Amino acid sequence: MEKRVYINMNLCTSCRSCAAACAAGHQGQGHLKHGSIQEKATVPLHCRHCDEPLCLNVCPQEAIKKDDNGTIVRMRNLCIGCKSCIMSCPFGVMLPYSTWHTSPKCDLCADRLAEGKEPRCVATCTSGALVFEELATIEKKYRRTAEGGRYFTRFTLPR
Amino acid sequence: MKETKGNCSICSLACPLILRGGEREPIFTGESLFSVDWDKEKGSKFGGSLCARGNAVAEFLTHPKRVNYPFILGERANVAAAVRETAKSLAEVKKEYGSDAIGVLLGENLTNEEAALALAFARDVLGTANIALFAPDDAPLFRAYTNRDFSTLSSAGSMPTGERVVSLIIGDSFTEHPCTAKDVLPGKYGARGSEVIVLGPEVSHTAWFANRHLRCKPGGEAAVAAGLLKAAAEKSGASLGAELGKIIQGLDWGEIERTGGVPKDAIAAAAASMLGAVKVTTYLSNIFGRIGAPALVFSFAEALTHICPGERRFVPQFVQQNTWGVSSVLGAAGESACLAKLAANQLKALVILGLDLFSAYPAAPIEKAMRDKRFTVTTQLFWNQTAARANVVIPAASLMEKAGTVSPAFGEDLARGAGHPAVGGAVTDGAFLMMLAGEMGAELAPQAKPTRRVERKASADGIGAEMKEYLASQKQLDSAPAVLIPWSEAAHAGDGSLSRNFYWSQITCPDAVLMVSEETARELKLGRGDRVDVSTAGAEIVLSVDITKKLSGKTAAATIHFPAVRKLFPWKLDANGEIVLGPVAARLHRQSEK
Repeated sequence: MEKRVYINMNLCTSCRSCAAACAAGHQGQGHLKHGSIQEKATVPLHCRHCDEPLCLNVCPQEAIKKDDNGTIVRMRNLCIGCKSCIMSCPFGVMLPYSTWHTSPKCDLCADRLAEGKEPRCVATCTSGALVFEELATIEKKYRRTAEGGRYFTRFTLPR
Repeated sequence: MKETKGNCSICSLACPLILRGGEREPIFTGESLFSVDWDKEKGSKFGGSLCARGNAVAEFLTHPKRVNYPFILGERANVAAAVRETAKSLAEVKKEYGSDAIGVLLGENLTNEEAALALAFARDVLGTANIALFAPDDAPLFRAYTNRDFSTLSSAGSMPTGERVVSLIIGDSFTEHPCTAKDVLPGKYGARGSEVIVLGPEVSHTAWFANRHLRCKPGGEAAVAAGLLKAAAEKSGASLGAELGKIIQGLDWGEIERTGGVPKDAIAAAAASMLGAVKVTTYLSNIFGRIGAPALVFSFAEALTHICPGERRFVPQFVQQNTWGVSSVLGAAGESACLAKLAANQLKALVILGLDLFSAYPAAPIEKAMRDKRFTVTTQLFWNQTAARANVVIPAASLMEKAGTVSPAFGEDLARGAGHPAVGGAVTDGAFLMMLAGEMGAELAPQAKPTRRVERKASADGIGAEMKEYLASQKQLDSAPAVLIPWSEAAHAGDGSLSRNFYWSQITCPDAVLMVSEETARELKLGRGDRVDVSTAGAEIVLSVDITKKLSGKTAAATIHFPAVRKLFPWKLDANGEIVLGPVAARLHRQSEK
């Protein structure tokens, strides 16, 4: 099973450093959005890299594909900006705004993964809420521990 | 790719980072050639990583709006001509009005060595005692630190057993210094019964994590902190010393509840929780008038922390990185006098280094003083209102481009290596002062080890008078139709003079917003995005409205990183010549109704 990004809801302080780092690492076009919980806390939301991604199915240009490690990637050179993926995403994490004609899409920081590093949002998380781990490791390491195991949420679904 | 290790230059935590890029001179296209990464191996003060502002420090090096050339009266010039013009004009002012009419105003964007050089320049070359640090957010904490020392108080009561850890957070540390969370939250979830106690009027990001939120009235922090100290001293039997003990005992609970807005039981329970913890940490984070009487809160919180019997730590956090370093180098020399003279428009020439005066103090007397100046020279990173009003503008170098020591916390020295040589035509403040001194026919030696003059006084002198003044000012707020407090955003830093230029802040918080409670919105029939006239004793401006559950009653908040909003919070100089800030009484009108 591949590593994915998970969030410990108990630790997120809504500082949005993850979003800032994401934007800084993707030529100013961030791939993260934030959801608000009862207007009290804000947590990061981004692509879950679904097992059966609807965005991939609806893309008329086949600009979205699943790569070897299960990451759903969008190829900017093929995207025509039709916004079908935005409408089809059940989690609402394909972002409708864009500085280019294409929709921003999380690539799990492929450049950093190739260097053996974790994605930017995880590396920069100021409170340690975001982790980049395999699901089995998460369950083993965090569940039922004092550090809020049961609040650990699947930030990104496993394959 | 070239990697340079350094430290973030934004706040007092100075997180270690790795700067990638910079093999060749940056091209000012707006697209960063640099990237930053948290230096995980070195580890930061709280074990945190780079926050939203830290991720933007690389923008200092490539920002398209950086000032790259010197300007004389708005016309592009070269450094030699700018230095010549400055030397000539300063000599003229000195001849006409005397040395005392020249002021040297310093900001935080200086290393300790540069601050010492500026002090030597002011005294030896200009012959003036008018040199001051302008740091309104952090200055009250420095004043409390130097004037009163409660770290020597001894604890009382038996040593607690178990593993309970308690963190008391005054202000909104998780927004102003996000990596504080890595220090606080493991404690909260680490042992049964551990607690986070937050003192503040709003449900901030920090208060969201509180086990006990002492939700005080706006500006009521000092009263509640005094209540916590009173309850803790009564319960443990700790001695607070003659003067502090007298003041705390003299406060009656009715007054504490009235001024602070928190019931006695809640305060006493929080104090008992702190006394029963094996480890107590107090964090204090202040931003421009957020806390009513920050100097008092500092003193009470320090005393409270040190009478707890468990392991204890008092952590004041500063908005800017080197305000403490500059302040300790200057030793508060002439600070009050310089401020008073500036406000009274007695200074005819200004040398402004590492400071955007209009963002730090956007007040009427300062604006008038800037208008009436004979001559102003300033070093600026970005083209701003201070630069627009200056006769000579020198392109400054950011702390990322400077080598030297900075002091992010009390008694701490951090050696900074220049992350990158000064970009474009930037001149470091130290190099500028050396050139200027040379042009004025004086020799200025580089200051390798600046003398630091900070001695804490173990007394509580003047705390009674300050408390009296605070209680009276809080009473006035009770009758006000609305009370305005500052609101900070994680994307911005301090007065926003630097962070307003960052790409990320321009996306997430591009304009000032007025946040009102649901009650106020109902009463004034306001909807999101409506325009509201906000008037205080300081100014009257129009802001767009956001309705929030984070505030209650008549409390309203405005994002403090914009000069227009800072104008709403009028400051005055107290008897010591120090700045007094705090929440202010305000009137809100829907624009169409007025």
